[in-house]
Amino acid sequence: MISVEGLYFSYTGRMDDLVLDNVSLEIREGEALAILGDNGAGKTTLIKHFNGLLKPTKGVVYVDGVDTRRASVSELSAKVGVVFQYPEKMFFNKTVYDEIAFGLRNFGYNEKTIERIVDNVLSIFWLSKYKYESPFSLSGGEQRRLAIASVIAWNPKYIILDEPTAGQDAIQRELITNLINIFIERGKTVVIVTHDVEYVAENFKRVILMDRGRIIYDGEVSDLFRRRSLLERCNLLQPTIYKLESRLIEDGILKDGFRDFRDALRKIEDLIKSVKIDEED
Amino acid sequence: MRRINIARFLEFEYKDNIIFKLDPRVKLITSILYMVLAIVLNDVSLLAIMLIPLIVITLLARVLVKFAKSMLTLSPFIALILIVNYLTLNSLTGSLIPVLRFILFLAAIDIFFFTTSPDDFGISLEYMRLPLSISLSFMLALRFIPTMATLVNDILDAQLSRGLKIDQGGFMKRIKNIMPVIIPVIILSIKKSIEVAESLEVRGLNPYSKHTPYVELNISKNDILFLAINIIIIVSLVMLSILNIRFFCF
Repeated sequence: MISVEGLYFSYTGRMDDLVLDNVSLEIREGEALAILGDNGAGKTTLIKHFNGLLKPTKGVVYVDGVDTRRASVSELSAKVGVVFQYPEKMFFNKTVYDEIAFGLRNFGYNEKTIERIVDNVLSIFWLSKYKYESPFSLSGGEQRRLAIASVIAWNPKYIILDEPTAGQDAIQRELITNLINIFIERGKTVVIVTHDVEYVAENFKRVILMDRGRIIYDGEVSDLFRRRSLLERCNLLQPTIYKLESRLIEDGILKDGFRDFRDALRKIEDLIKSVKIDEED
Repeated sequence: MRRINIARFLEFEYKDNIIFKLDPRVKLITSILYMVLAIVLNDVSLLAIMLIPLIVITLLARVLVKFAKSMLTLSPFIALILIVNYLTLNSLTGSLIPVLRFILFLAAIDIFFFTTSPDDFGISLEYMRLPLSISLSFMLALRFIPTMATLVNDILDAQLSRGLKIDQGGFMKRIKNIMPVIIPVIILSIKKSIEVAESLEVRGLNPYSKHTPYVELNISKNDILFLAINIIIIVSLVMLSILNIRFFCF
């Protein structure tokens, strides 16, 4: 479990210049959590505390009971895999193989195991044919998948992704979100920082909303997306499915709201089936 | 691993005071004069006195803390100058002279760059008839320092998150450890500079054609007063040096 208790953080060390202001939360094992918020809300600063890149100015962050102030980034990274925004900018190796093997070598895996893991990861991420190509010769979408693969390779218990679909076209976005859903289905703890409300509405149950360094909402996705004023405060739009829900309720077509995305799809399907089409029309 | 905080004190931060509002050419000339004076003077007492007007300027500009931080960052280098000179000259006074010169140089440079935006610096160079290709290169290089520091920190974070242990091993191992940070920084810097060059070209920049500056520089009364006071101080120190007047005995 990742546990954040009364976390305050300031880059200058001054308490009048806080980027995170009394943040507390718990991320349980196997949970999928989305962190939403406007630019500068402190989302990236928060996730940098999970693998010890940043240490709290005040408060504590525990990863499986280990105080992050007392552990190195390397020790914590073995458990917490963080994929930062535009991760392809970290590439430096000659081949795709070496790029994925980099983290594994740092964590002390032997070459035989590394080869087996890299082959496996390459096939999961549809990159096998580029094994000995330069990472810089890949397309934008392939580079993004490679960057995620190079962190997933050592099988961290917690996977933290900062805007994994930023700057990607619709097809690449779909590929990346499908991969993330596979991790969630396999019971990995996945934390995703994003602005993509549609993606969150479709795939997540728990969401955290941040504003000016504070958590202003921590709860059910379906509940948050019905609170339009809270979303507007953070410059976020209501997802299409929840816009449709309020319209259907307003028009008296729908009595109860959607429980989640799947429930919404089912109810919409039932509504379409129940519509009797006048053949003369 | 310590994060690179170089951007913090190299980043230009505007403050509403008389020094910031001075004409950049006046500040540039004053700084150059102080640097020349630091070379000309060859006496510890006069070099120490020379620090006073420079500290007064940092106080007026409210950049004393920034100046102190830059000095602190370079303190190991200052200590090295002192030790090497003491070992070779075997004289404390003699070894203090290069140390003071270095501090004065740093103070003059800091005063100029802490109180002058990269844009104003570029414009002042242009007004001083330097070709646009040179003035623009200076300006862009200065602007790029904080961006580059952010870039280094981002890449460092990404590589540390992939288990890179940068502080481990001997000297050669540490150099090898830093390669996963250096290589992406170089690649991204080149990409960034190509992007900047292209964006300047598509907006019609041609360093060899005639163009109008987008900011007009005018010398005010404050500029003349500032320059006059500093010239008086500089001339007085030169006179004291010529007349061989000493204030302290070592």
